[in-house]
Amino acid sequence: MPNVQLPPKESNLFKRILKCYEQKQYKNGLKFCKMILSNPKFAEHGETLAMKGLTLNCLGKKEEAYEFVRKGLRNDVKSHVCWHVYGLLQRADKKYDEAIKCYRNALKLDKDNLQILRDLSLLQIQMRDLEGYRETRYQLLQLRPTQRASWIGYAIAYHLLKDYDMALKLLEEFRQTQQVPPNKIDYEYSELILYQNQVMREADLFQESLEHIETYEKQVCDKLLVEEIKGEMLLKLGRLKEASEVFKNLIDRNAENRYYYEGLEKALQLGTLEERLQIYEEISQQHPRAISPRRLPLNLVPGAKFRELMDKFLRVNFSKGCPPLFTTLKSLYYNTEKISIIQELVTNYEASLKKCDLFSPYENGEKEPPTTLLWVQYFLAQHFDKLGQYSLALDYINAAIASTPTLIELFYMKAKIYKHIGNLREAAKWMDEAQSLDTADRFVNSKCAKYMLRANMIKEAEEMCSKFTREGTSAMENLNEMQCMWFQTECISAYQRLGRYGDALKKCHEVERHFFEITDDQFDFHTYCMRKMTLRAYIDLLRLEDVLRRHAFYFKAARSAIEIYLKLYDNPLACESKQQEINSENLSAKELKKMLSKQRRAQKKAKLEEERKHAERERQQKNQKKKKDEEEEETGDLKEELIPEKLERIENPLEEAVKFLIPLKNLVADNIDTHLLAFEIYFRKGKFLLMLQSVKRAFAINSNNPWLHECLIKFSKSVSNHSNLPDIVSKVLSQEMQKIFVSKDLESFNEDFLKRNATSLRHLLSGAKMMYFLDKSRQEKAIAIATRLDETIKDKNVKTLIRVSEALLDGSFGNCTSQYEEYRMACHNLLPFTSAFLPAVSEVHSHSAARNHTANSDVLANEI
Amino acid sequence: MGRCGGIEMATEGDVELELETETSGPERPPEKPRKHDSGAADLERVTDYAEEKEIQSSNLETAMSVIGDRRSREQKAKQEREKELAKVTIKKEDLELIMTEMEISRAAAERSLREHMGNVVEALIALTN
Repeated sequence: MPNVQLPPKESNLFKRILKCYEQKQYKNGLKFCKMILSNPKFAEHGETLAMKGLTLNCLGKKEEAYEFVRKGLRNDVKSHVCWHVYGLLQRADKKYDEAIKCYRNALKLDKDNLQILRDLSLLQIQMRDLEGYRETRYQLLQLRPTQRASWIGYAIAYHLLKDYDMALKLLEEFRQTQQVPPNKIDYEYSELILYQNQVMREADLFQESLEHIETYEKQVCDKLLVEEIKGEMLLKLGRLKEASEVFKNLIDRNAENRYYYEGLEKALQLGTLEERLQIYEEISQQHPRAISPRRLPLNLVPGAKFRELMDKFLRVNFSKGCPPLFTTLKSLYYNTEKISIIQELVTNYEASLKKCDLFSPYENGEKEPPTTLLWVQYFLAQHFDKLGQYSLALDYINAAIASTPTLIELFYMKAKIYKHIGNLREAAKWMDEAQSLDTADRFVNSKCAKYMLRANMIKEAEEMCSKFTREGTSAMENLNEMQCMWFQTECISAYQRLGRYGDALKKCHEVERHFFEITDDQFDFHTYCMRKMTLRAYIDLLRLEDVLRRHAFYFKAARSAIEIYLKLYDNPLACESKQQEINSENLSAKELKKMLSKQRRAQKKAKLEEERKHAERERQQKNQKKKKDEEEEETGDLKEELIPEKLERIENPLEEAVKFLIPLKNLVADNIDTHLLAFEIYFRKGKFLLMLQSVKRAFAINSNNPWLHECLIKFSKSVSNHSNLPDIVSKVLSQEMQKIFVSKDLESFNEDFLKRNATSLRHLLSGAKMMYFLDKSRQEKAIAIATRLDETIKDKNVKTLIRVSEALLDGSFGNCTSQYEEYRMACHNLLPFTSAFLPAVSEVHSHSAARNHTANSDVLANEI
Repeated sequence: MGRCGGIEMATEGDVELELETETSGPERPPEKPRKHDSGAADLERVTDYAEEKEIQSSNLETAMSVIGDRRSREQKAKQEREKELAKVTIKKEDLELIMTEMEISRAAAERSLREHMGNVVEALIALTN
């Protein structure tokens, strides 16, 4: 249909439609659209139809929106408005690539359209197409050199591309155009100055930065920041005397900021320890209530002086009753001398206080109140827990509880001790006790939920959280809505331990979606921050979003997802029925009948369970839908529902695993686990060069890592087993592997590894596993190595011993049930409280068996 | 040690903005029960339409010319680099091999191959670093 030009009356209406859209007055906009379209002459007017669609989209009617927009576009393909609107729709649906295409089409039809250029620039910065962003910003600047945002946007483009010269030139030009009276403080101008200064500092222009901040400091709102910048720049320029003055003033403002102390030390450059301690002493006199000047010297001094200072520090804090005392001192616990001094001091206090209410029996003075003994015992429990002496820790905490059974911190600590021991049920029980003492405390409530999840008590954890989540929805859903990722990642681990892979994967995907949303949310701030001139915060936001998936929550979710997908690849679930069919051929008729009826019963049970779950889900969905209908129509997009059963029967688990892996490879390349997980995936995909890449990168981080060692051996074996690789690949492999293996045969490589790490159980375990892998006939020797518990072994802790026992169960050493029993008993003697080694069937035992799906079909059958 | 009670989070739209005026007249309106301000209203306003601010300045020409010069220099440098890379001959099979073995895009594979003067072994070694 040819484009009909609108006469003046309709043309005005159209302009008003655009205004309504901008002002978010959607109902009015629709009214005006109707007025144009109801006229039969203009019923097919492309642009109006498109605008109607756009408005409908803002009201949540997405299907209709697309219909109208597409219709409008068909009617008027040469209209830049229609293309622009189509692009906006795509953008709202997060189809950014498509949106960019639409904008480019629109620009072809109207080269200098400001609005389209602006929208294009937003997409480009969202997708971090920095070069493209700069180009578009240049065009905007040329078209509208008088608009503030043009200059700022262009400057930011250069800043992000690290071209500091250009950025600073632009900012200075822009700053000069700002007419701000010198005595007035204008927040936006202040932010501009600070942003400009930040760019200078990033460009290492310290002299310029200092002069700049001194020139404009009267007009900056953030006075503290001004001082901090001055201090930093003076240090960088070597003007130490002035720097020390600045830092002294900063410490006067805030005596607890450690960065100021560091700055002061750098500025003063004092040689001897005494001089340094003198400074801290002076500051402490000036600020008697500050903790830092008393705490920081403890990091510096050794021996007798340490004892003297520590004695003072401890006494003051015990008398006062300072709960986080141990946490403040924890960072000293790498130094064995300091640990023994602390232990001596505090155990003496304890004995003395019990006898005569004084810190030392050789002193006189005011008696300490009974609470002092309480805090001393609490400290000692934490101290011995840190050192791994758990029964002693329990003694102290129980003594404290006996005297003060209402103090939450004590039960919290008791739970922690049990967690470290490895008895997770007991830990959850005591944490529950803690939270019951103050049910309005959400922190303890959350901790309790976490401990329950660690003990695989998922239902109970959900109930615990529901005491604080919104009414009307289930706790799981509400916590997902609130992006409560600590809970979700703990759930992932719990489900993984229980072997409920579908549920675990569902949570992994939920976490991934949160990260997607957080990345997506930055979109609106591209215009907003530039308008409000909060540029430093804006740059920080961009930089945060660039590395968002570096966060531990993503790493945990991704790691678990990859582990599960690898398991599902090795032992796919759908094939269970096939496996049982194969087995049935070897059974007699009677046994067959028995097995079939057992199967039928199991199937029926599973079906009922499915139906119940389905009904529950439907009911919840109905409730949700009701809620949604009652509230405003949302413009949120409907994500595909995550169904556990489907997720765990996915067809291509390795591809799914790679999706989780890629952000890790890009952002967490310094963590060796990223590369080792990558190896496991590529090993199963048979991609030799990618396997090579993974081990090379891992090797560069830590060549002695036990898991890496296992990967290297598997890799080398696999390469020698595959003789038909393309020439080029073989060439690359042989050249690069030379650097790692140095032409040793694998047995010697393994022997060297074992010799090099003779006192580390973790390493011995890996070496032993590989010994068996390379030569199954050496099973006895391999098990003997892995199960060593002699004195020379340094890391006989709960975690490592559990790892060894799991390896004995999961087939890494073949069939060895009797050796496992022996080992379990030996471990039990070493660690009597740990659940994993308790005799008879405990939950932890059977659950850890579930986690390690072996080729043993009996184990599989029990889990159904 | 403070223990604050858990407060119910009120989401979605039902936020009330309390504008407290200190002018105490004879009768004060009864305090409305406060709900937790989840910031939803403020977030909504982020996307509100606002007029762009203008600069008052006549001296923009010099600035613009400086920018213009800079840009043409940048363009030239970029084009030269691209020309250099385009001169390198690369083989199609090598390109495909890199793409399959390293699971990267065609563009990335091509760039790597060109930067190593078409030597596929060297390119792969660099990619596995």
